[in-house]
Amino acid sequence: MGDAERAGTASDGARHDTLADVLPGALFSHEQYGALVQPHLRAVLHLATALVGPADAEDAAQEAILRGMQAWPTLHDERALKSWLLRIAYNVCIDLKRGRFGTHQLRTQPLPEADEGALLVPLGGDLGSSPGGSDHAAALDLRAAVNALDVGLRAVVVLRYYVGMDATAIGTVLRLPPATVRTRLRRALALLRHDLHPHDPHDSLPGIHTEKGGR
Amino acid sequence: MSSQPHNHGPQPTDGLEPEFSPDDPLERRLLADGARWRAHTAPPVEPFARRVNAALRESRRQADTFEEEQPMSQRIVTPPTRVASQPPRRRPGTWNTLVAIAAAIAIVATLAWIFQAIPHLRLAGNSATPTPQSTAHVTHSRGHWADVVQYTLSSSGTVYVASSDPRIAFRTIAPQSDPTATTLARTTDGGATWTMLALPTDDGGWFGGLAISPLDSQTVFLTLGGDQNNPHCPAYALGPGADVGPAVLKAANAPHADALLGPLNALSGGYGCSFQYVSRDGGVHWAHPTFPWRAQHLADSGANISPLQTQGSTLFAAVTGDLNGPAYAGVRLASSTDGGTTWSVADADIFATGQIVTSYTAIAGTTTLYALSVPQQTQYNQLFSATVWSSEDAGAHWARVGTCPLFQAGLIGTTSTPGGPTLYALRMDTYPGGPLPIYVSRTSGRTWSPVPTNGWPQLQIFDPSTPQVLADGSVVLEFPDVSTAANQGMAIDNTNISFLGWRPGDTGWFQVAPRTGNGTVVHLWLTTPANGPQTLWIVVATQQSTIYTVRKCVLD
Repeated sequence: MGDAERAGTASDGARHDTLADVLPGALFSHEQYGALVQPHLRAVLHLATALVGPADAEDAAQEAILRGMQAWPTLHDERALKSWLLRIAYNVCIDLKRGRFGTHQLRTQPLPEADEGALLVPLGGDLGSSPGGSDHAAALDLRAAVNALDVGLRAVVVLRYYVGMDATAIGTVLRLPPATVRTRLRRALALLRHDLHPHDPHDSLPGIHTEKGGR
Repeated sequence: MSSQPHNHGPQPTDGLEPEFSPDDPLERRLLADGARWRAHTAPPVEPFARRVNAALRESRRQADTFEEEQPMSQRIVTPPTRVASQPPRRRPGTWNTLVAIAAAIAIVATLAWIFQAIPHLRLAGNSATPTPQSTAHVTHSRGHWADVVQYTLSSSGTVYVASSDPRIAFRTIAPQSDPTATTLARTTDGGATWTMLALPTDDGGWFGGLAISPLDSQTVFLTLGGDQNNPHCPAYALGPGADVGPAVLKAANAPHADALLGPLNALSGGYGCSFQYVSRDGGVHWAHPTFPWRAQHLADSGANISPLQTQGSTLFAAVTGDLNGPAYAGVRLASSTDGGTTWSVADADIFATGQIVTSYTAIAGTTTLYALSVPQQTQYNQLFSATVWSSEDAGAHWARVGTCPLFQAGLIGTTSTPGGPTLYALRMDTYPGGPLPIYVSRTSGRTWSPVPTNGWPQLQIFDPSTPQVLADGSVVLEFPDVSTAANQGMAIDNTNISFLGWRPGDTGWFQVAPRTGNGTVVHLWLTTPANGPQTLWIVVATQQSTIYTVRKCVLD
């Protein structure tokens, strides 16, 4: 979580009881909404990038922010603003994908059951460094291994390490208990170790728990 | 908008903390690559912020115009609709709106067809039996799947089915506009009618999980979660990775500290706390259960095999302290003789030796328990063979009986086999080609032998979270399909599941029930009536988690 985001979540020790306490008379104010979402723009944009790709990320993220403003009066607790925005962004990205494929294909090719993480776009090969080096090759190997993960595992890995969300936020977005998120992460790391270093002693390490909810 | 590299180079890890271990080279690689991805793949935030703020200003202008024409009450319950004159957006909303309208029409038509063609409650018996599919490793098959109950939801949600009566279920309802406002509904007639339930509000938490007591479908355990902004959670003055123990909890400014369940392994920078509730009347009224330790809650199923188990009228639970997932391996074992309201320590002897339980099994029809343990504060990447324990008095006293060659394994057992219990220990982190993941003991845990894998799919992997043991001592596991593609690694298909079993003494595995397909198996359990055949039950989610079908396979 970046500093800008921390500033908006009262992690500086201050306790923000209600929006009315923080911003008297401002309940449901669109101006205040605009101010409160600023620390979360980066997170929404990164989530959208992971879900729909960089070319459509800004559209999706902007749509999410605007939808958030429309629904702002329905938010029961403004302290949940960040997770609420991220969930809206997730829904917007799903809508965007479905709309792009058209309704006919939507009906005949439904999204994978309970695996909306399948909507993640694969991690690309844009590494921002000159190709050919060993680091470059290693990074490409890593991204290929992540892309090859089962969708449920890939979703938590991408959201955790690439988007930068914590387990609680990922759980809110994917509607999973945070413990399930971490369970998936452990399993995903074991699989990545196996894929990347099949003979590495680290690969045989235990501790990966699975569960029904984690599928 | 552009995928071109941006002029804001990455920090080594961009400030993000590891989830599990700062010394794990894989996590370091992922953090570094994540920072690179955010710097070079994600669009830069500054231009985006300018664009969004322009859009917000325009929307506010439109909204202000609207508000001038509407009374306050309508402003609150009916948010203004944005109009087309938005600031620059590459994809105007017209197409999405048309798609949404078309989708809505399709949904309405589909629902109309469903309500016309299908009764609310479908007790289909054998009429909807799926056609069994063959597999390459069948030696013999038992039974067939029959649909029993189908729950059709108006929107995606989670359905929790009571194992004692599949017509009783709870479902989550999450408004799309506010996913943190998830609430529950309950049915006792297979989904024909649903009764809305109010979640407890005293701690201000959001829905985090639900478990139905295997003893009584009226008894439900609810976990709510909170974050650093919840004043009922401990103060969030602690940095990532801080050791938050009972003393810190006690000192924290937490009004509900007694009911508070633990903070948190904050390694990721995230913070969560949780609140445990129990209802004895199907979710109408909620109360905090009494645990023997502060800051605990029922373990998620991922932390143990079958967290809730029974022996007669005694309920056992694996209890943990961290909604975020435990930092160390292990759970505490508690028992309740009043249905789950009051809990007592059931692992005192084990914990006193410096060990902590990682898995347990309660042998039905007896007061015998078996447990596996590792040293306390064992991290997930530490290697320890599990110590095997047994108790003949429902956890009051424990004796060390042996060592299991697996570490942090799941444990299951049965007593119905001649000569004593058959115990199985399963490695939890299975993957194709991995170490042999299952052992069997016919000597009450003193000695263990590897179970052969003849008959397994070529790419061996099973879901170790849902093992069952049949009356004849056979172990039953789920095997999802695994496929590989060139340069793509393996892919696990959780919608196509084989159910394979192994009986002690056999040289290979056999098919227990037909394969399932076209839906995700989200729940599996086994019933063993006093007189009659055992039955395997599954709950299959389809149609984007809007239809949940309960199926059974009689194992005769």
